[in-house]
Amino acid sequence: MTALVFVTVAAGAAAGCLGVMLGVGGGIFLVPFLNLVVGLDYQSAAAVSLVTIIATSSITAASPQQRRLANLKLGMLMEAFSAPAALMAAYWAQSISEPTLRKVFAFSAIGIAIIMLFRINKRNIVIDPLFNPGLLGGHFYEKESDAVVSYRVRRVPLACGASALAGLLSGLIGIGGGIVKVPVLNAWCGVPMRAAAATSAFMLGVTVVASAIPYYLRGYLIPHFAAATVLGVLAGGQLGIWLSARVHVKGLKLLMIAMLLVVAIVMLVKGARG
Amino acid sequence: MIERTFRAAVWVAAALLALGLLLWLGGQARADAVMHAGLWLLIAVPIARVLTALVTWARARDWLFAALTLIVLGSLLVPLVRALAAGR
Repeated sequence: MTALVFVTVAAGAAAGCLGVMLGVGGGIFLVPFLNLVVGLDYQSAAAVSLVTIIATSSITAASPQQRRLANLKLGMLMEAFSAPAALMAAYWAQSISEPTLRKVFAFSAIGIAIIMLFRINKRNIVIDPLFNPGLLGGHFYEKESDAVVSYRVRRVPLACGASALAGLLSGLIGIGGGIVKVPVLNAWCGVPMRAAAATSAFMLGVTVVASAIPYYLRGYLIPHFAAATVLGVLAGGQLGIWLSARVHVKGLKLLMIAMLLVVAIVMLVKGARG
Repeated sequence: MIERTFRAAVWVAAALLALGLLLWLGGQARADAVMHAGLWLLIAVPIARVLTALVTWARARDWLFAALTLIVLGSLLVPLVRALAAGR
């Protein structure tokens, strides 16, 4: 039991680092680890994962570098769809069987990996200081091109739909939902990868609190596993912030796709066994 | 300034969790209470951030975004208020 807690700290550190670098909460890696390796039941694994994502998001949000990239208006608009969906899904998840939740998790991961693979070389960068970004658009300074990058948010209803889906998955399977929002914002809504990741990370904590409260109130959160994982995630998150300024976006996407497929296959195999 | 407070709150929560975990490893009965305090503090930070956004947009008379923020705030507070009302 004590050894498992220490393993959980290490897993949290790995998930926290990857989560910050990929603009997701790290839950996509933590839930399968806690469920399959540590042996928590699915709902308890989801509850721990959700609490750790709150920590990652709060730290990411507090980093000045990420704050400049994040688009607050777009983030809040998306939360107005994510948070209610997350709340309802979190109550719903408590009456769903473990093998079903594992399958939902696996298929979600595969779906996202496929979207990322098809869109791997897409960039949405406009280098023009006079460009009008509109009500929801934004701009930030990009080091590689040494210019201010502006963007306009396209297909806003799609972004809202993706947010509702992200919230649903957050409450249902215990992830942050950034893994749904970031690719959709980047691939279809014209938001550059870094701005999409920062916006998602900045607001993720809110979705996840909406998901986490029902789990917490119903007693699914085991305090010592939650504490161990959160501490690991906070340490890993600091490393991730340092690394993310030094790693290329394409490499990040490829890493994300590979991790997603591995996790999905393991969850499907274990899910089929019940 | 307010961001610094949020950041500090996360580190206080982390300190409570670390202390609680040490107490738990030492087999102390108080451990769970300390860890729960840390977890609730962690949950309070995003709620406080949403409240800040609400105040900012209300002051700027940006009612569209203030209304969107209220929807978000409701999703966070409704289960808590219901649990408190049920006498937990």
